[in-house]
Amino acid sequence: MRISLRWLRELCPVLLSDDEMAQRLTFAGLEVEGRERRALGEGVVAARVVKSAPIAGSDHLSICQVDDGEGTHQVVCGAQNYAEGDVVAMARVGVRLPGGVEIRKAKLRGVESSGMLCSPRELGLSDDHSGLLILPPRTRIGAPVEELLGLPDTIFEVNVTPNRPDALSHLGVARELSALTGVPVRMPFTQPAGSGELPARVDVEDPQRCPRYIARVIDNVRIGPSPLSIQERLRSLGVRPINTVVDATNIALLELGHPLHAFDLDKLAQNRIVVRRAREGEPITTLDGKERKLSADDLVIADAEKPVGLAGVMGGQTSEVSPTTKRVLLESAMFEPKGIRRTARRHGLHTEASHRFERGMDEETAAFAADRCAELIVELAGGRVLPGAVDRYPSPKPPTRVWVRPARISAVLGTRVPSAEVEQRLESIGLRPLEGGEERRLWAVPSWRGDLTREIDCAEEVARLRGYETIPIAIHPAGIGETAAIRAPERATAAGRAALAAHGFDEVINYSFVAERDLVALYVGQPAPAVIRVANPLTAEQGAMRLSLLPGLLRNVSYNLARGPHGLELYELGRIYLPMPDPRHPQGPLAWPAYEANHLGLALTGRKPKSWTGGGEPFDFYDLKGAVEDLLEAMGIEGVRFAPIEVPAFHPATSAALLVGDSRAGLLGQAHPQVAEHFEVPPQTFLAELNWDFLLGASRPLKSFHGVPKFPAVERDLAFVVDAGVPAEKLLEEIRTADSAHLLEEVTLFDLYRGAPVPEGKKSMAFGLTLRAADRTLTDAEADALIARIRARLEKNLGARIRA
Amino acid sequence: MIEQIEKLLGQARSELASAADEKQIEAVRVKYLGKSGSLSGLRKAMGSVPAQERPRMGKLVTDAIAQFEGLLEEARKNVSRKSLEADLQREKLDVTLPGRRLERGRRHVVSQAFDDIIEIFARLGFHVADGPEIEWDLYNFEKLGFPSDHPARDMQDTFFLETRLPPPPGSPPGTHGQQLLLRTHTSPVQVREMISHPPPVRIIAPGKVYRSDSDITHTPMFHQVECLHVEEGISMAHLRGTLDAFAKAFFGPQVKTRLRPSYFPFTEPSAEVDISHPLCDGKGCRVCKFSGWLEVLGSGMVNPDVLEGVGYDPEKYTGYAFGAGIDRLAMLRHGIDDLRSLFENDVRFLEQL
Ligand SMILES: [Zn+2]
Repeated sequence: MRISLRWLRELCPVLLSDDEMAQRLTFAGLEVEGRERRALGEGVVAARVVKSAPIAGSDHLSICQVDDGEGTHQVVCGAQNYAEGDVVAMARVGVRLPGGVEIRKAKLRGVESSGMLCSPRELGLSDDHSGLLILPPRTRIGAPVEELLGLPDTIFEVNVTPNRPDALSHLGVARELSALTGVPVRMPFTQPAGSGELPARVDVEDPQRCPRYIARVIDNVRIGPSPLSIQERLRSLGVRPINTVVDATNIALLELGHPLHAFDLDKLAQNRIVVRRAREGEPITTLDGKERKLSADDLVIADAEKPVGLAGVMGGQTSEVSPTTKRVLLESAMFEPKGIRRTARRHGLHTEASHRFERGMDEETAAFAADRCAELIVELAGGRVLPGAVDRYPSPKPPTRVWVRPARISAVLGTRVPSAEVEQRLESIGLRPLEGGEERRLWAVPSWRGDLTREIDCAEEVARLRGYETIPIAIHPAGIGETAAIRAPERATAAGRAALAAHGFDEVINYSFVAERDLVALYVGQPAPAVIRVANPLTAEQGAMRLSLLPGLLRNVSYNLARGPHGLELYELGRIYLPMPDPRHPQGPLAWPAYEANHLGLALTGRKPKSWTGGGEPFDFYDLKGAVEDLLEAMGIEGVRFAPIEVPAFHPATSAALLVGDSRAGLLGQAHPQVAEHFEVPPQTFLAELNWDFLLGASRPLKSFHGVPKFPAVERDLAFVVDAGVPAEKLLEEIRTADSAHLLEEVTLFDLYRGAPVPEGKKSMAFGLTLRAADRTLTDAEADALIARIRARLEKNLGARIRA
Repeated sequence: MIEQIEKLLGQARSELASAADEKQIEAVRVKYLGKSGSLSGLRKAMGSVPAQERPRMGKLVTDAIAQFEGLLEEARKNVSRKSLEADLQREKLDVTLPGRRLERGRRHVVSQAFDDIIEIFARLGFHVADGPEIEWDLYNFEKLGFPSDHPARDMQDTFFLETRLPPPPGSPPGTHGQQLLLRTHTSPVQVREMISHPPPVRIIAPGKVYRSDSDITHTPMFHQVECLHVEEGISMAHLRGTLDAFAKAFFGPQVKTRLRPSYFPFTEPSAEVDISHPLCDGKGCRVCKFSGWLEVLGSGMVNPDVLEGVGYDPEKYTGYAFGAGIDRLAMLRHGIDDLRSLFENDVRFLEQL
C-alpha cells in the first residue's frame, strides 16, 4: 500500500519527521518497505509560451519565447503538443530535475537556450513523455509547479499484512499514528444522506454474499480531467487518473479503504440495480476490455437486463462513466470475502477492490464511504447529491464484543502491563468499554477492526502499541536435565558422514523434484515405477518427485565435468518419494501421505588427485566399494556381503548388491552405458544407492571392548592358483570353514595376479593369515596343522593348486 | 728406552690425530702393535735389558701399550663422530615439497548449519521431530489457521500434487483438507507433534520445504527449522530468550535480536525477528541495506485456536513457535549472496565451505 505522507499529515497532524514516521509505523506492525520522494523544487515554474517558431533545418525543434514572470527567456523545445499562449512547466537554469539532469545554458543547433520545457516524465511525475506538461490557462505565471501539484511529498510503501485490511487506507494508517502518538484524527467532510426518494431501484437477491448495499445518486455532474493536484496524488499512489467522477471514487478508496463504484445511471436498464448470482456462461465485458464468461458462483451487479459489473472485483463497460454522463449512481457495498476471492481467482483478476474485499471490509465503513465519496464527487465534478440513499442492510451486524483480563495479557507477554495502560491502549484504537471491572472488562470493537475477536488479539494490540522491545528476555529452565540423549541413528549418521568425508566425497543437495524423463532413463527400457507428480511445477524439469537419488547425482556429475574438475566424488543423503503408504508411520492421525524413504547416493568418476608422489589413477569399482565398506564399518554394520546383480541403471557386468544379513540394503556399480549417455557422463562413472533407513536400523555405532590379546600371533602366507572364475568370497569362505578351532584372526588378500607364468584361465592369489589362540601361545605344529587343513580344503573343493 | 717409548707415543699421537678414517687408524695400529710394530718390538727387546731392570722396564712397555690403545679408542670415536656430523649435514630434505595429503570431502553448507542448529537446541532442551514433506492441506494450512479461500494463503505459493493417495484419516471425503501438496513450511510438524504428544512439547523440526518461486532470493525448495515450545507459564519473554540464545550461539555473542510486529495465522501475537548484521557488526552495509539489521525469521505465541484444534487447553497452556530459513542463515554466515548457488552443487562452490 502506497501512503502519501502529506495526506497522512492532513488526517493526523503529527510532528514527526519522515524517518520517525517510518520507524514508528514499522515497529507497530506496518512495515515501511520503501519510500519515494516527489519534489520539483522552486525552480520549476509555470511559464507562458509567448512565441514559438521552428528552427530552420530541424524537423522537430522550435525556438520558444517563454515568460516565467521574471522575464522572457529563449528556450529550444522538441515537443509538439502546445500552442502559443499555453502555460507549461519550465525548469529554470540551475535546476536539477528529479532524474538528475541539471539545466544549463546551452546552444542547440546554434540557438541559445536558457531553460527547459518539461514533460511529466522529465519531472518524475509519470511515464508520460508524449509532450509537455500543459498547465491550466489561468495558472499564475511564475508559480512553482510543485505548489500546483501539491508537492513536495514523500510516498511510503507500507507492507500491510492480510489481517489488517483497515490499514489499506490513509485513514487507517492515520488511526494507527493517532494511537501511537495521541494526536487525534481529523475526519474528512461528508455529504450525509438525509431522506428522499431516489430515481433508482436496488434489489439484493443474495444477501449472504452482499450483506449491505448502499446507493447514492449525484445529478448534473461534469465529466472532465481532475485538478492537477488530484491527478498527481492519484499517480503518486499508483492509480491512473481517469475523470472527475472515477477519480473521486479512487480518492475515497485511498482515503478510507472502502472500494466504491460509480455507474452512469442513465445506462442502467430501468435505472435498476440487481445484486445476484450470474447465470452459468453469462457474458460480461469488464472495464479492462475483456469479455468474460461468468460462473453461477460469481456475484454480479446487474441492471434489469444484464450484468454491469463483477461485484467487488471490477465494473463493466456498458455502464461506465463517460464524458456524456450526467447522473451517477454511486455504489458502496459490503461483499462476502470468500466469494470475492473465488471470483477474482477464477477470472485471474486482482484489483484494488478485490484485494480489500477478500481481506474483509465492513458494513459501517460502507455507509461512511458513501457519504464521503458523494462529497468528493461534488467537489471534483460539481452537481448535486440527491437527498436520500438506498440502503439494503437486512441484518445489521452488532459490534464484536471481547472480554479482556489485563493479568492474562501480562502473563502472555511476560511483563506486567498495568490495567490502566491496557485500557488506554485499547481505547486508543477505538475500543469502547461496555461493562465489567478492572480485572475483567467487556469491550466493543470498532467495525473496521474485524481482526479483533478474542482476548489474545487484544494482547497483541497492547504489545505492539507499547512496543515489542518492552518484552524482557527470559530463559526457560526447561532443558536442564532433560536434554535429549544422542541416539544411535544420529551417532551412526555422523560416523557415516565422517567416513565419506575421509574418502573425499563432497556432499550435494539436489531438488526433490526431477524431470520425469530422467527417472525413465534410469530404467533402461523397463517400465519406470509409479511416481508422484507435481500439478503445477515451475518447469517440466521439476515435474516428478524423485524415486532415486541417482538422477540428481548424475546431473551434478555432468554439470561439474563441463566446468573442468578431473575427478568427482559426490554424495547426497536425502529422501525419495514413493506413492504408497509409509510403513514406518502407521495409519492414524499421524500417518504420512506417502513413503518418504531416506537414501544415500554416491557418484564417482574421473581420476584420483595427482601429486609428485603418485596418484592420478582412474577411479574404479573398488574405490566405490571401499568407500561403502568403510562407511558400513564406521556405522557399525556387520554381516555385510556383496553379490553380483543385474538391475536397471547399472552395468550388468560390473555391479553388485549390498547385502546385510539376508536383506538387500543397496546397489553399487558402474553406470549402465545408456544411462551414462542420457545424462552425458563418462562411461566410467560409478554409482551407489543405499537404503539409509535400513542401514541405520542395522547399525551399532557404539562398540564394546573385547580386551587386548595376551598371547602372540603366528603369521603365515598362503599362495595358490585357482580358476579365474572362482570369486574371492568363495576362497575366504573355504579358509574360514577349515578353521574349526577358531584360530584364524585375520585373512588379507595381498596379491592377485593373472598372466604368465600362471596358466590361461587361472589366477594366482596370495593370502596373509594371522593365527592366534586366546588362551595360550600357539605352537608351530598347531599352525602347520591348520595350514594343511586349509590347503586340503582348497585343493579338494576348489581345485586350487598351492604354490611354493 | 724410556726416551724411546716417549718418542714412539708422541709419534703415534700425532699420526692418530691426523687419521681421517677407520682404515688409517688401522694402519697406525699395525705400525705400532703389529707383528713387526715398533711398540710390540719393545717387548722382544726385553731380552737385552739387564735382569734387575726387567720388571720395571716391562711395566713401562705394558703401560705404553695400554696408553696407545687408549689413544686408538679415542681416535676411533673421533672419526665416527666426525662421520656422523658429516652425515647429518649431507642428508638435507626439501621440507617445502607438498605433504602427502588426503582429499577431504566437504559437508554441504546447509547441512553444516543443520548440525549446528540441532546441537544448539539440544543444549536448550529441545529434541528433533520429523514430519512428511508430502503433506495434506489439513496439516499444512487448515489446522494452522489458513482456511480455504483465505488471503493468508497468498503468503505462500504452493506446489500441489496431482497424484492420488489415501486421504488423511478422519477427514470427511471431498474436503479441501485432503488436497496433497508439498509442505510450504515446517509448521505442520507442530500440529503432528501436538496431536501425538500431551504437553509439555519442546521440539525443533528441521527439513525441506517448497514454494513455487524462483529468483536470486527464492528457490522452489529450501530448508527451514521449526521450533515449538508449549507448556504452562510460557510467555513471549521466553520466545525472546530462546531466539536471542540461538542467534548468539549461531552467529556469535555480539549479535543482537529484535522483534517487529507481524502476522502469521498460527501465532498471536506474531513477530518478525531481525538480527544485527554479523558481517558489518550492525553498523550498516550493502547486504543489510545500510540498516545494520537483517530479517531472519518469523515467530510468535502459538495461536490459541491452534492449541484448541489439537486438543490442548489454551487457557492452561501457552507456547511460542518460530520458523527460520536455514539456507538464509547459512548464507549469512558464509557471505553467500545467491540462494540458487546452494543447489547448483558446483564443486568449486562446495569445496570452499
Ligand atoms: Zn550490514
